Amino acid sequence: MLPDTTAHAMRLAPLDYGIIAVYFVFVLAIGAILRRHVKTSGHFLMSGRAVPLWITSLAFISANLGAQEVIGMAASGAKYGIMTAHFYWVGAIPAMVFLGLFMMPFYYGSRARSVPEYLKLRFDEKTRALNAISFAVMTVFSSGISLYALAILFQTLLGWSFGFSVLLSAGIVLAYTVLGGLTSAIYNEVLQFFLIVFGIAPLVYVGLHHVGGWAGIRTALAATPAMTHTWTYMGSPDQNPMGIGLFGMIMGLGFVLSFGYWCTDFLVVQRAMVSHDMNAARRTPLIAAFPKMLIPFVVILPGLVAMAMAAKGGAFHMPLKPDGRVDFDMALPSMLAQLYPSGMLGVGLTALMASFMSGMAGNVTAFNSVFTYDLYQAHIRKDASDDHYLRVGRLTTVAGILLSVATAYFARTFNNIMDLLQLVFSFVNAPLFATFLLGMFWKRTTGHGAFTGLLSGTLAAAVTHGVTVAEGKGGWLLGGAAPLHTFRATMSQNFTLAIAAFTTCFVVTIAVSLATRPRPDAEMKGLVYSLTERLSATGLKWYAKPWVIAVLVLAATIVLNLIFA
Amino acid sequence: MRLLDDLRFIIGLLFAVLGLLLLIARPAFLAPVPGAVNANLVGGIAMTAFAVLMLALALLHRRKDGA
Repeated sequence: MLPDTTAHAMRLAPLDYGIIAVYFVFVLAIGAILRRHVKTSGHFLMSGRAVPLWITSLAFISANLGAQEVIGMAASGAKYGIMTAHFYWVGAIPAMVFLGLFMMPFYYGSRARSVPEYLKLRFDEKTRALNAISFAVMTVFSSGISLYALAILFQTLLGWSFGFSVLLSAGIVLAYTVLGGLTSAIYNEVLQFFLIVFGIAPLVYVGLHHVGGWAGIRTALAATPAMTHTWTYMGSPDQNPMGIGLFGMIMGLGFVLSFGYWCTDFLVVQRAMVSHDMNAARRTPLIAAFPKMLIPFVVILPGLVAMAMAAKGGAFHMPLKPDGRVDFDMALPSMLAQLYPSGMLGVGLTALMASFMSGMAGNVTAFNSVFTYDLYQAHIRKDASDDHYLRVGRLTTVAGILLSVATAYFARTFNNIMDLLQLVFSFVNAPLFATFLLGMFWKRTTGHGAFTGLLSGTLAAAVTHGVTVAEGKGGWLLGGAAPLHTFRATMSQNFTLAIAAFTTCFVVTIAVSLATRPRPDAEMKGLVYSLTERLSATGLKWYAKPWVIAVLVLAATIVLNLIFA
Repeated sequence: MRLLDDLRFIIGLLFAVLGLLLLIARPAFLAPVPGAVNANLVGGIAMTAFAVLMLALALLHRRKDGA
């Protein structure tokens, strides 16, 4: 039998194009409406720190709900099963609780306008510059990769030209972010969040109805029981499709990678930092954790439903690559194409487009804040007028979008270079959490320690990748010699290099800090746990107390883990 | 605060348009897989109900503000 590589081909009706057009009108209207509120650089880059809690909470998770997440998680759901939910129920949720309870008081309380600026206040200018430069480069490249992925997807699904998709999406994101700044990006992220939920949730409902619910999925996938359990097959890496054991999962994903991303990445932390007061800033990730823990049912379940429908036989079939293997990445688009009639097909495609644009706008707005505050104002022009920084912020937005477009075209020419860049980003991100953990909770940590630790951690991640191999990736330092270790899956290798990077950064930071002179305590008040007054929750209603919300979040997460164990 | 400045109102308006479009178009576009539920019906009802909720919240908020 010939492989079916057209299971995801779509034919849009005028109704679908109409729905996409309606969405674009609303997105641009938000930018136009918010334009009159943007009068200072603080409004443009920090939303004037006046965004309501429900909006910051939804934006917090939406900034991360880019297309790579929506399509990638469905692909992982189809490939690894419900175990993929560990990214949420073991990874994201505990990290968001930690951020809200323990780290946000320092970010918000220090009045830093960005994560690199906190590093400047806590450590020194060189640590800030290292973080700001790596973050700025990563965000602009991430935005370009997102744009590239969108163009390739729409070329495959709809036959749209690469250039048309890139310019249309970049043009719309440019228009609404230049007009309304961060507030516009945040408002659109919330709009996009609901669009993604309402665009994809009916697909899950229709699919579940077709296969006979969760029980039907378990029956259809009875030959591979690990697909429908989160914990039962975690005893050994050989038992589950991810090839990961308990330690790698809890330490690598649950601690290093997730805490590293959710607690230190300015792209998401920025959404909480624009809250109107400290309590709202702390509650932002905590409130966001409730919808976040349910996101697997929208992004992972479609992958499982697709596998179950394919296993049951009938009209639905999984898309295949030209070599005959299942194309997991196309699981979600394939379901849209095969289960949605015109109308919802337009909404589903708009949801995909929204997720790409949401990811891109999030990266660009974080990029312009970091560039303007941490690079331009800190190193190029210190004492200019606010109008000047507002202009720089707007110009940086334009530059960020243009660089993203250039990156998308660059990726089209050298696709493997983008894989390499994404790998390098993971080297940079992995050790960052160790720096923050020590910086916030051990007052003896010094700037020299933090800087050296960050560099060493990055190097450790690169070396680990260079001497190990997984699915043909890595081993670039071996020069023909046998790899130090061969992992069953790339994900397992990623978790291991994250652990190596974190541990190295942690140890080196401590060693160098002990050998260098610490800052006086007086200079670190409000920046370090032991030198900061505890925040009082008296006077707040019970449901507004961060620790109460945290307990509820963790209890609900434990229940979800038990249900799907 | 103007009604147009309230994000709930904008979201409600968008989903009202989308929900009603899906419900009106439903008879013309049937489920592609035989025997499957029509997603336009499911999506249309869900979006319209959500739109009503968002618009109601926006109007209530405006009344509370005394605007």
